[in-house]
Amino acid sequence: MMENLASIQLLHIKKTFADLVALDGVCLSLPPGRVHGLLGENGAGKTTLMNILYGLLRADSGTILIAGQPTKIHSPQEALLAGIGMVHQHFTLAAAMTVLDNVLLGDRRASRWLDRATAAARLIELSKHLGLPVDPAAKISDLSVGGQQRVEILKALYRDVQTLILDEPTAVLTPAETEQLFTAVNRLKCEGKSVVFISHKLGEIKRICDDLTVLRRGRVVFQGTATDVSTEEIARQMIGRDVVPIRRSPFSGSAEGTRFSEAEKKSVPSALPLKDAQAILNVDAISIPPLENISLHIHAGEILGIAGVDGNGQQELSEAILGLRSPASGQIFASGNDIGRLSIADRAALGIAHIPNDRRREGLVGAMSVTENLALKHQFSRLGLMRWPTARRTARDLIQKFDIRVPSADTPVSTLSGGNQQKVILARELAIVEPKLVIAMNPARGLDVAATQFVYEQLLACRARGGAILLISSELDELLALCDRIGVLYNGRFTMSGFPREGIAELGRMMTGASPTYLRSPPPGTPGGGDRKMDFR
Amino acid sequence: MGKGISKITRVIWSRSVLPSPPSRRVWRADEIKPAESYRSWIQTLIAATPILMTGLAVAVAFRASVLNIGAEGQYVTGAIAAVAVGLHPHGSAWLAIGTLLLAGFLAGAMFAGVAAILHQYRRVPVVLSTLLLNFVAAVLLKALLQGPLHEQGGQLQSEQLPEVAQLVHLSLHGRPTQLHIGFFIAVACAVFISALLRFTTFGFHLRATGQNPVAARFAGIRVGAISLATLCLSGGLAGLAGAIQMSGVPPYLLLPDTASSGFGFTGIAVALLGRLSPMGIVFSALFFGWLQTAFSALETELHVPFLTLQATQGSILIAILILTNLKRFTR
Ligand SMILES: Nc1ncnc2c1ncn2[C@@H]1O[C@H](COP(=O)(O)OP(=O)(O)OP(=O)(O)O)[C@@H](O)[C@H]1O
Ligand SMILES: [Mg+2]
Repeated sequence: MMENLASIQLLHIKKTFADLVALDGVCLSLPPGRVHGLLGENGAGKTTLMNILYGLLRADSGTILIAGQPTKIHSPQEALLAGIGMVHQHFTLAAAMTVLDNVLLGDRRASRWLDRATAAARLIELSKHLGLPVDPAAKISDLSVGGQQRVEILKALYRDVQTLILDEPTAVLTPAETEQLFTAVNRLKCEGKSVVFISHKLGEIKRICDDLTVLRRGRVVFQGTATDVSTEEIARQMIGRDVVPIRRSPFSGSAEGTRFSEAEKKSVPSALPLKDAQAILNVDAISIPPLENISLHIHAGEILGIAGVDGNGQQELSEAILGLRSPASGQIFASGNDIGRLSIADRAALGIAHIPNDRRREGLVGAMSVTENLALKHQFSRLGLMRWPTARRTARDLIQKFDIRVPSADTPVSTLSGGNQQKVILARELAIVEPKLVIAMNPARGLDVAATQFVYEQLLACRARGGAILLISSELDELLALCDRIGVLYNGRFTMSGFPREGIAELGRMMTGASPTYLRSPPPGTPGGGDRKMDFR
Repeated sequence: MGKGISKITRVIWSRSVLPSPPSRRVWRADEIKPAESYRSWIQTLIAATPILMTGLAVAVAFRASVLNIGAEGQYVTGAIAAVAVGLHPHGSAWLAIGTLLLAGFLAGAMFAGVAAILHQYRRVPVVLSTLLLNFVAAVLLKALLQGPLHEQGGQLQSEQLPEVAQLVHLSLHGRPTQLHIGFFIAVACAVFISALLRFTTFGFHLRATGQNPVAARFAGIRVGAISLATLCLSGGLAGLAGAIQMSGVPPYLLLPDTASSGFGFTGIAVALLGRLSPMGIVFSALFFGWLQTAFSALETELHVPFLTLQATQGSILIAILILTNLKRFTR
């Protein structure tokens, strides 16, 4: 039996943070040549468990056996020497340095004088072997997220680790990159290495993993072979109840939802002639590199999806609408009023909410408490003073309502699990004031099954209230489930716009710019049938 | 060696805040007057006043990640403005002192404002501009002492501030002491800054900007304006330190030495030791003030060079920073 020769075993690991029990006697064994899937809802303790194995945190009690020997791991250096490598949920690369420098950084085995040529050759060989292409001389800041992910993996493997921990590696990858990663993981498996794979995407887990462990609130609730359980069963184990699929009502087609009120219109300085006055958002031929001449509009009660691989102009589009960048040409209207000259705060005050792509950089102030992060957008300020008691009360309500797992409203958000950090942003953007327009970028990234569903419900509720939503996402399933219309952004242009009916394969091809531009009119009665004016050039 | 150390300790003990230990009473008992112990307390408070102000100045800026290391220069400009205004008082003493302090604050704020504007419009790093402006302030002082502010008599110094423009001194047992109300102004400033950071929208935005400027900008906080205002506030506090020092401490005039007080730089140490929290800074300023009092006693009694004070301050600061940061590694 393989299990007896398990190269690494974690026994009865326990960890508490203040009065929060993050891990409660977790056992896990990682035999060579197998991929172990680690699942669990947000805040279940997956990252904490792996941080303990990697020497970043110390367990309160419990043992780590390596090849049968109890071993104490006090730091990542010791973990690497013991043959354990980890790719973190949030990347840890030095952005200004090259790929090679990052790979060599902190490598204790490197001699005093770095032999770059040899190192580069070795890196290239490794990358070819695994089918993970990288350019050693490229700068990290110039790489796509997927490229950075590959560097993280190669950085760990460059040190000849026997066990590789991947913490939510596919959250930021495109379908093609995910395939690439899976090929590499399978190759590692054949070489007798063991891999820990953390993910919230159950389909992926079923495909790639041999063994499974499901954690719930720091306890193991399921452990076994992946082939023995269905995805539904896993989901039930994870969240402790059945998952009901979301239901979306058809688009009403009328534009009588929430409109910007007269008072709000007056606060907009230049009310230009209305251009499609029905639309809540009207983007008219804007250009900001790499975007060229992009036009779109969204009606009240409508979800417009923008599909595309990260880095094709999505960030620029959202920043232009939010007022973080001014376009070189073109105009942006909200309910018919030109908002091009309004500040970020003024636009937010008009009811434009934002769910950013990079929550830790753009959405949260890590060192501040949950309450303070919820108050970040001016809602609790009156006459220059902060109304902290009100803010704290609201924070407590929202922690309840959004099921944010956090000891108290005064806990710094940096200590929250990834999914719970995302919930803080959602609470701030969707619940404190009712938004009229939501710019959401990958809103369910890193969320567990239940939380993802919760986000979708929130977005649909906003739509039902007459809000307009621009959903920018790289998840096709998400777009198909939620959107009334979908456009595909590739290289700063719309390569396609149409309706979810077109199906997943088609959209997937468009995202890589495979096919010529065309527009298909929807069959009658399709959701979103009342509107097909989305421009593309 | 051992004897030397015990002698040093004794001097510190007897001349500074703590009463001498009973077993050592015999040692120069004739020199220890009853007034001695509270006098040394008062010395400590007086010494703590300017560095409490500059410490606050530095801390406010650092909280917003604005690296103002020019409190020294802002202190000097504040002192210059205070003397220039205070030499020609109008109206009552309250009015004279009020305008003098205001002038110091504004001058410091404007001087820091130069760095803020250089940063805002020309992207000059604040560390660099504030550091270099320290030298500008020193030269400015020298030029003014040789020119418009030159004393009638011929010394290289300004005229003395008239009595109406001098800060009120406290009396103890019916006798006036050297302690001026500047110390209480400084403590009030600490309370004010603490409240500003905690309860006002500006203070909240200032902290958010300091901790994550990107997220702050995404949230609609005007990061540039906040940094600018913070730097001016910081400069204003340092300028106020200069004004208080001029009108509170004899000889109530500008000297060439005013430019090399070192209060601005000590302020950085005070702010860091106080962990950038206003109330922490009150205590760290008192601690540094006590050290200074103790060392000046050593200098007069035992001829220990005053430079050892700076060495000691530095070592203590490094030791404390190491100790407090150790927590991060022990988890
Ligand atoms: N440094 C810390 N201080 C306090 N609490 C912490 C700390 N790190 C983690 N926690 C808490 O421990 C719990 C487990 O967090 P962990 O990051 O392991 O969750 P996770 O399973 O990785 O979730 P996700 O899927 O959202 O990433 C969470 O409730 C989190 O708030
Ligand atoms: Mg995690």
